Amino acid sequence: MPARVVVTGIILVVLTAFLVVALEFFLPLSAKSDMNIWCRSTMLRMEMEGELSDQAKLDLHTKLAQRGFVNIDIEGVGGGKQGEEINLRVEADYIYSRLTGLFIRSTAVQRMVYDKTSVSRRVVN
Amino acid sequence: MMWQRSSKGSAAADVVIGVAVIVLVVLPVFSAVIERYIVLNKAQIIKDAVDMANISAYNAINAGNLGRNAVTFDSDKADEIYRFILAKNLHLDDTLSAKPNSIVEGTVNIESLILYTGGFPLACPEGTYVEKPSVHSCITVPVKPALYRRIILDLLGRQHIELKVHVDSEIPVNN
Repeated sequence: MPARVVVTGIILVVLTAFLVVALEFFLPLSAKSDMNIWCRSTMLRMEMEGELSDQAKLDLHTKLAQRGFVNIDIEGVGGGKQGEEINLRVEADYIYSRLTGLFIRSTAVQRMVYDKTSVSRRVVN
Repeated sequence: MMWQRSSKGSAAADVVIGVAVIVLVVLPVFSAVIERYIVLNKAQIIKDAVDMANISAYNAINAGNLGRNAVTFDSDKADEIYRFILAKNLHLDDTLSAKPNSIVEGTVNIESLILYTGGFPLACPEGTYVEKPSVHSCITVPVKPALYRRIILDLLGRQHIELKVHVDSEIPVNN
């Protein structure tokens, strides 16, 4: 009977560890998904304004920082008038804690990059 | 004596059942969920790229005709802009084939690219009703599964998983 309790306990610990690892697998994916959504919103603003405004840059930086990103580098290249290419490149580190052993947690750093190009819609008369 | 043997047997059976549950139930279920999540994320990234290409294609508008109150497009230019922006955002070459580090695997096929400027409401080839000036496009994108790639492809009997992405983007009326 004691052997059965021990074995059941070990199986439960392993199962729990596996579930935690599996759930933590979603953390960076979810963070990247959020980053893509916010960067896309910023791109839409850039398309209308023809460039990356300071306010848009600050808004994006704030959202990313609140989500747990660090070392955020935002670069927007825009021509200004309608028909010219605009580019938004965002690089940031996502730091999170994850289970690396049965009872060991360590900090992981994931570099994430968003780099997209579109065309300005700003009409300059 | 009989009870002790039974007890040892039960412990061994517990180990076998526990391992079997992890390997045969928990692992495949979580893998399927993670795989699905990754594919949905990829689909969203591709959809954003298509939306950007649609909106960019709007710049092929013929400005000369606007003065005569007519909204017309240069189709060749629209196609050129669309391909250029799509290729740039999905890391494709000129033939729309994947470059290294692209989320695409293989060649992207543009099934339709239509610019709607009048005669509304209209139905696009995918059945969506369009009521304002819009750019419709539909592409098929081969993507690779993230986990257990070989097994999934073998089960499906395919080389790639093909995502069909359809986006109708309204042309902004003013800025």
